[in-house]
Amino acid sequence: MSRNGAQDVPMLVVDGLVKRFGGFRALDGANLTLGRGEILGLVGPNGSGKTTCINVVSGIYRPDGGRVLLEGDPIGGLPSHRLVHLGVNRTFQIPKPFLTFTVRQNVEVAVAYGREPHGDPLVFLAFVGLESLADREASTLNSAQQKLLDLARALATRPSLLLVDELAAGLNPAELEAVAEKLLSLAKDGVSLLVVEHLLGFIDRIADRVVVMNAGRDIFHGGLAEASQDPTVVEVFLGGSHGG
Amino acid sequence: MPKRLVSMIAVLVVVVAAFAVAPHLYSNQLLLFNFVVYLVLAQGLNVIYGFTGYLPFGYVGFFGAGAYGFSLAVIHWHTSPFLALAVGVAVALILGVMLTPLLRLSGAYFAVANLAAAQAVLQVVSNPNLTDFTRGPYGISLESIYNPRLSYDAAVVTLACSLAVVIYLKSSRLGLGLEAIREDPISAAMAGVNVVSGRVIAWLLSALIAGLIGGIFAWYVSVFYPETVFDLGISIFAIVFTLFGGTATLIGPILGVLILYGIYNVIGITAPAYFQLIYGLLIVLLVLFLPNGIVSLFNRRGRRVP
Repeated sequence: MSRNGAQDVPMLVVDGLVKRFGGFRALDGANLTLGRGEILGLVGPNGSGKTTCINVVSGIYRPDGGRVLLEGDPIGGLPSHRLVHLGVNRTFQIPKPFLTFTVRQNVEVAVAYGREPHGDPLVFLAFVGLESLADREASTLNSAQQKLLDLARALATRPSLLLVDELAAGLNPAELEAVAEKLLSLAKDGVSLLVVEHLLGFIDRIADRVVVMNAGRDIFHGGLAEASQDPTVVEVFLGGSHGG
Repeated sequence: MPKRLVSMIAVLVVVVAAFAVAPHLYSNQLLLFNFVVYLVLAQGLNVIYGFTGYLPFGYVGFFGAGAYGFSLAVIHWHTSPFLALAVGVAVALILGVMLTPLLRLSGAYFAVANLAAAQAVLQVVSNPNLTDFTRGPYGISLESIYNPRLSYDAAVVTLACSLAVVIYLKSSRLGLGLEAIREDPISAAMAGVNVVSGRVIAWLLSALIAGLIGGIFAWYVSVFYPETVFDLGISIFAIVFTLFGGTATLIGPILGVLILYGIYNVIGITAPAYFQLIYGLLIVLLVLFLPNGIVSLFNRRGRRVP
């Protein structure tokens, strides 16, 4: 990844994004900007629109308004497989492996249909530490292993933008540290990461910056420490005073 | 060449050779022909159901469309049988394209909508007001081109092609992508697979196979009614045979047809009164104890039946 030339153009810009489900506005004008090789934490209470944001950026939902720009080019509403070929990929909060496939085949599909169709699936399995399970059926993995398989499959398509949806939930402290190091090494290689996470310690470990969301909008941009001092953020997380 | 591919090609050669030689050893050619027809239909169904998970209860619609496309080309344009087969395939493909919007549905909704579509085609074909064109409810008669020898051979060639299609899918990027779609369409898309075009390709491929064997069926029997070639029993047999043997494998549908259609013919003749009871029990037991078909009995960890 060249850091020169196009360095002024952010990897991802989400600008006034709107997504409606019937009368409910899951995203109500959300904004965020993610630089190259940056790790941005996306936090907020349940139902604040974090996962919806990832679902729109990864092409699972079509936006109802606003723009999504990948390196300056509009990508809102493109189908997922096209986005994959443009360098976008993701993991899922509830992992979604191909259950009757072996672990190796899961990654093989992504290699065969990804951006560089001649890689060795084992490289990606080794990166997430699943190479010893390569011949197991994916349905026999536990949930933490399935999450790592999701990550290996996403990486096998060679993304430059990786959307990580609650990868850390359910991992033990040692696994958490290992995953944190993997994500940091990806960022060092120039991959941009948008990380949705409830474990703020994990976010603090890897992210330079966070965007706090509430009710489909971004309410804070900046460091995690400052966020905890911000009165709006505190009110959203802890509840406001009720006239007392 | 990978061992797996070699063994699949060996299966193709053995099955095709057996049915090519069989008429010289066994006099009931009609029975052999029906076996070939079901072997082809089971593999065609395998392409759409085994590889993408869409269960088309109206699969017989493509078979009937092929049979009628073939027959009308012979009756109205006096074409040679081989050109008429191309017309039959074209008609089945056109029907397939018309029904692609059904792929937006899933599970039982798709199965029922497809069933209704096949019935709608039957009602159109057998409409008395169209008698001048389709012969309506009075059926088709093609004595002028009757040729059981040549049409049987055409069916055996079609069998070879349908097995080759499944071997290709079992050993190619396309087949891997289709199976990924079956497992989880969203994950498949995130692996870079074009889900919509993958489904349409599998759908049209299965329509093509059924249309071709439908045309050959019309050629072989040469006299039939609309209800003969749009019989839902054909769909159900093809589905049951494929499920019984094991979907998304080459051998499963072959075993399913040989065993179940074999039993059907044996007890259908010797003990017709018990036929439905035995058949029904067999299917119930299968669904309860072997949902992945009989090939799953032979699967071992890391080693799968092709």
